[in-house]
Amino acid sequence: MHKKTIEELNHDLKNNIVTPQALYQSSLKQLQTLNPILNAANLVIDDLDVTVDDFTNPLAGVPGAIKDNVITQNIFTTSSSYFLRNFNPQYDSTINHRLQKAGISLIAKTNLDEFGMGSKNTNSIFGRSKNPYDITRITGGSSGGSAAIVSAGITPYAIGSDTGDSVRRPALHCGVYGYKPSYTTISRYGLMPYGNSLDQAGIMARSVADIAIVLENIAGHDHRDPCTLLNPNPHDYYQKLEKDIKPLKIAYVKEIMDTFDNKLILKQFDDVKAYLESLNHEVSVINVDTDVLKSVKAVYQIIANSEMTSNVAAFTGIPYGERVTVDHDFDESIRETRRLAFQACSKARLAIGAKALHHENKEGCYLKAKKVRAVVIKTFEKIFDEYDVIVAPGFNSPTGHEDTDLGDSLLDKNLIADDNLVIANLIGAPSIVIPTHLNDHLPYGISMLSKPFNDQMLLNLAYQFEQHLDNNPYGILSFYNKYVKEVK
Amino acid sequence: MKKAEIRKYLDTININIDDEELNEIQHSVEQIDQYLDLINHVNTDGVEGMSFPFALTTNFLREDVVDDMLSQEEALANANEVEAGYVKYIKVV
Repeated sequence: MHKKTIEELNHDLKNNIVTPQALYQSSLKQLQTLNPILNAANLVIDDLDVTVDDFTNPLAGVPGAIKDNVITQNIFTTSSSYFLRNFNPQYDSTINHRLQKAGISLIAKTNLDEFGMGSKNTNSIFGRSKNPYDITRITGGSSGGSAAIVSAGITPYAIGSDTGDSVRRPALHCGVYGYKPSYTTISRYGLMPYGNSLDQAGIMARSVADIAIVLENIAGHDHRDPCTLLNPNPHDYYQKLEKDIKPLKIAYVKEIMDTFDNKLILKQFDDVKAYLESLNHEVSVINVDTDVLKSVKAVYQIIANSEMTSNVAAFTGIPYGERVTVDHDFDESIRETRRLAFQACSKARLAIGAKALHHENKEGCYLKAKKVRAVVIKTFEKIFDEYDVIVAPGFNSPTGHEDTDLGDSLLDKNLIADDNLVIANLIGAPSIVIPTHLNDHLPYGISMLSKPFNDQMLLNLAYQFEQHLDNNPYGILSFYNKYVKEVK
Repeated sequence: MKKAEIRKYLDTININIDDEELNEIQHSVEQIDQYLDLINHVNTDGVEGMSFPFALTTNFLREDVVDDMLSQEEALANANEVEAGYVKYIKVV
């Protein structure tokens, strides 16, 4: 049961092979056994009354998990922050509202870096989540708990959020599929904001079809996030999933490849290119200005942290959240509340944002970053005038340990090879990561990027691609063999 | 960036920070200078900055009808202190 996809579980439910109650109990047991090892869930929902009996919607009766920065009505939502440790939302996010309407069994709120501010899931008041492939290693972040839960076979899918690769990075590290749709595809109503012009909820799962099922249920217009009204796509992604697709023009970027020095990954990527060609796609190398590629992480850091700095206005401790009061001193009360509210790593990001927005620096920092963002957007618009998809290897470096320096080194290798997933956030484009290999017992994969609103084509290509993967890592988890078999 | 500078910028957004935390984050915050270096390598002459990934030019209006509203009780449910239907806070004037 714990290796099955949503499609397979839906088949079992429809044919009375399993009941939704038994499915929930099984996932719950799995979670209760494994969470002390993985620390993937901030909250385990162990008292759900499962009553669904219509399995027309493939999500009905299937257990799922949601990142703990997505508001869930009457279910504690902490965003892994001390500030919200007792926050019990009185309203629902559009995401959870739609998932509940579909009949899911919500089993967990998952661990993350505080308010999404991190790339390792180590910046959490609950402690870090642990990688199911090797629990001494990180999951990646910020949606680390969601990735770990799917990877460990607890639920077939989980919701994450992706401001700067925060769904796709942990998905690659944990050997699951990760999808960030085009900006405006999924309503942000009830998704706690980090970098508002970059934020987009995403999905982790064990197959492309499962991603399409979840996307079809949660995407679509929502007047409470007016940006979604701009999205031209009908949200029938699963219904339109098609593996017999016309040949596409696929590009890979020479300047990205040049920063990879892991020979095994380069060899495996050659195999991926050859495989895509065998599917009748045209695969070509293209050039992108190295300075533009190297600027992506910097633009992201400046813009996301500046936007989060504005969001800090909501952290007063007055209408909600933890509060510190200093007698007769409003300003100092707010300052002390925020000292308590944010972890040190978050304060670092906020200091960057505050500097970028400060009137002394704004022109050369925040406004300059917005201009460079425009250059990045134009650069990729031109590429997508000619090509359908850009493909790249996942990461150059192996999944690190807690103290592995992921972000401090601004070497070209890190800036381009390990941070190119962030391009999708700057340009608002859909991007998917697919697990393809296990090297030294750690998962590696590839990423595919297309132009904004080309979600269906990208999903179809990924769907076609996965049909021939004979090494789908979720089936050969070393962790699974070591721990999961003990759960009966 | 010197520690005093980090304090100064955090002060602009009303955040206090302990000395211990300041030591912990100094290196990370200093990266902004490298970020600036990286973005300054990109020529943006004549380029207009973009606030969103694509142009958002349309304003959407909905019918002027009452939509999802929290009741007073719900709106106050997460406040630290409530009295007579209001959030209670320290006297500041």
